Amino acid sequence: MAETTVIPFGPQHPVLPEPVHIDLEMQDEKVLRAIPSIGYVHRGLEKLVEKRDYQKFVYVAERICGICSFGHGWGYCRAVEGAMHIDVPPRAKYLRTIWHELSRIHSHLLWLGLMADAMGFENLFMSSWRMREKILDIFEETTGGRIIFSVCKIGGVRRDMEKGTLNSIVDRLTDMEAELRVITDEFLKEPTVIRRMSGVGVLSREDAIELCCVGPVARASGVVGDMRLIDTEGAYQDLSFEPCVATEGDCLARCKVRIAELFQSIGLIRQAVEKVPDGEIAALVRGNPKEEFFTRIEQPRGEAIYYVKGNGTKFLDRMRVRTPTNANIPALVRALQGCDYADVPMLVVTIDPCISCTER
Amino acid sequence: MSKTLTAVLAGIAYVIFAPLLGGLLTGLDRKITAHVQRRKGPPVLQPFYDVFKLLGKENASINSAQDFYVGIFLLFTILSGIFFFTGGDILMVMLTATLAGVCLVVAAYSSNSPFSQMGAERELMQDMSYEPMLLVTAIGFYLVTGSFRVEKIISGPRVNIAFLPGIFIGLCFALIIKFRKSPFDISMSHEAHQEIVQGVVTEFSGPMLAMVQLAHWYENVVLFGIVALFFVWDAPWSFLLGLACCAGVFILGIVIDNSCARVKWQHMLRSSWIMTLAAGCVNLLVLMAMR
Amino acid sequence: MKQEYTEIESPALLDNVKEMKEDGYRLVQICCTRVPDGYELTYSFDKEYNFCHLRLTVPESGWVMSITSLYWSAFIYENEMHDLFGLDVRHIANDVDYKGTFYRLSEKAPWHTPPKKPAPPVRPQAKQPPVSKAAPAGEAVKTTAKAEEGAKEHG
Repeated sequence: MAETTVIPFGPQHPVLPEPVHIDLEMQDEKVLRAIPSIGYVHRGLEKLVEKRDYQKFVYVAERICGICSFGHGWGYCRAVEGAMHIDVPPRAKYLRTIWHELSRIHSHLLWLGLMADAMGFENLFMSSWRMREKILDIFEETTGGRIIFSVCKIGGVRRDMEKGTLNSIVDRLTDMEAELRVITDEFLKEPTVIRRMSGVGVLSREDAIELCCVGPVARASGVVGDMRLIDTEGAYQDLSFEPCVATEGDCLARCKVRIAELFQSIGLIRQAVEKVPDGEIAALVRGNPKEEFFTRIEQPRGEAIYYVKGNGTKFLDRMRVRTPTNANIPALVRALQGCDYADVPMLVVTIDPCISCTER
Repeated sequence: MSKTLTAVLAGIAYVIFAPLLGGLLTGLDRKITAHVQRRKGPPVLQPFYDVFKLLGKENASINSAQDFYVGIFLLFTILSGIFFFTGGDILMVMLTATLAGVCLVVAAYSSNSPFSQMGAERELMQDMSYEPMLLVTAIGFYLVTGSFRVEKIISGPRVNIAFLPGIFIGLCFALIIKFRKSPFDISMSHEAHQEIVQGVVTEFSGPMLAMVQLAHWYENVVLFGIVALFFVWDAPWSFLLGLACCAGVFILGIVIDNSCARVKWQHMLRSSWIMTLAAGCVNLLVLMAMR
Repeated sequence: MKQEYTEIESPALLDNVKEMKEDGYRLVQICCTRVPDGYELTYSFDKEYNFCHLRLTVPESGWVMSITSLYWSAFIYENEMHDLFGLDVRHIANDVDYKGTFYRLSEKAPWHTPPKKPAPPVRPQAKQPPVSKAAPAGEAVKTTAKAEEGAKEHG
């Protein structure tokens, strides 16, 4: 009977973007069981809502995570606006959508770089992140910040983007598209890459449904679910798009889905810039939230839930964020059982872990 | 008499200059890689700065066995280089290098860290992958020049690669493993890494790590020397040809490193043995049939 | 978005969740809120973008049944509730019951205490002119009382 060793994966590990600890019970090079343990970046942000003015809490909500920062700010604002029945002006909805789609592009490019690095392909990692710098430049020009740009506020947005700026964004994205094609083709066609990703970490459709996965992880297994299709708070009702779905359910399929979403986001931004209406960018906010409200948005990693409960004072009773990585951890734990040790970094990166989001 | 003197001088020159050359090669490697990736990269002399920094650090080794084995690893690597550059037996060169490699693996095993142990296992896999090819190379040289001794091989009447093309290709394949480059940088790589942290050298630090780096520089020089053997013969200008081909192999290695992801050890083992059989053994059979 | 919260009782939790599972609902999240006399749990489910919630109130010393037997992925939320709030969740599936080691925290159940209601703002006392020691205390009290009366009339 071979004995089992326990190898600690994380919290410090070159392939992990954020600290998570997984104890891997191994036998030779096969993983028998994976035991996750989190808490390394727990900042108790949900409890902090009891001590911060709900309007100022947007800044805290954005800092839940650096990669999905805009999404968190937007989600929180939507939840409070829902609880207070505030109508956000249409121009603000469009602007928020444009920033959110840019966020999605930047997040997927970051993920592509990490995936390449996890495979040992440093060249692709450098190229993906170089493309990402161009998106961060756009953020800096329009909002003043690169990663955490506090541009969302309750009732609307704080800054406007003029027609000239919007058109220049679309032009830059069009220029990037050709180079992005070259980089993403490397991912999908290079033989060594395909060998590392194909057939690894297969999640069947039934498994994906049973484990309640969300986001690209679920869509790569054939489960169609994209919160943007029912989104009434953004501009998505007026934009036409189809969710990107693949059926194989392995790492390569998840890669394909995220790459397809990359190009889909560029298309969405193009449409939004054409249709953006004129008008105000924020609605007036009076009073304090008294009710509770659930809202869902489609973050780059999947469906995120925001719940606020107000009690009439300016401090909320409860704010809860259920992030997509939180929902995908069971899938990770299940996929790690029985896999090869060399695949562990690939599997962990393939669900796009954003542990800051998970732990808040 | 003068042959012995030349041999002794060559050996001393190797011991003194090989680390300088090896370090420069590593520095150039990183600079060229950076330019391929469209960034600036560290200065060419960076490996030297790194080694000096490491030598100045505290020796935090796990146990004395580790120090001993890393020391033996360095010693045997230098020894194998001396055998090579003094015109000695190429089989001795390869066997001493293998022994050095085993000492490194034992040093890694002597710590209890799981990453170190996995790195050691993979290092053994790597050894099993390229050893057959090196032996086939030595046999190939014997069949062409009639001797295992390096001094006879480099003074042969014809250029060796004319008879050993398959073996040369197989050797280049094995060298990618030996130089620890993608797709075969499985047990340890220069940049941080992604599966087993630093693999074999996880538990080494300070002067131990500096010694491992030095040993790798010595080893690299010997490996390029073996590449040059294919192109050096009686003519005196053939040394330049040998150097040029070494530079070519160096650049090729960097290009392949930058265009491939890493493969798993099973695949490395399989593909290198297939390559040994296909390129190496076929070449040998042809040579034996030609005799 | 319609927000439907169906109140249920603790013993009926498993039956309700079983109905959801058989209908094909996906478990979205489990939220735990500390209310003054216990915990308020909200189980959210989704099917084809139809979002609905089950609400359950558990007293402070009470316990709640785990639903990992029906939805295995609930272990994430249940371990979190146990680690952060100190809520007693029983019968979590064996291979995913981390017994308090899921969240690495320096103190147990940091969110166990109910949120403190912020104290009402304290009105600063009207500034008194410096009273000499000889003045009887009674007079000083009278002045203060007058000032308060005046403030009440204006306020």
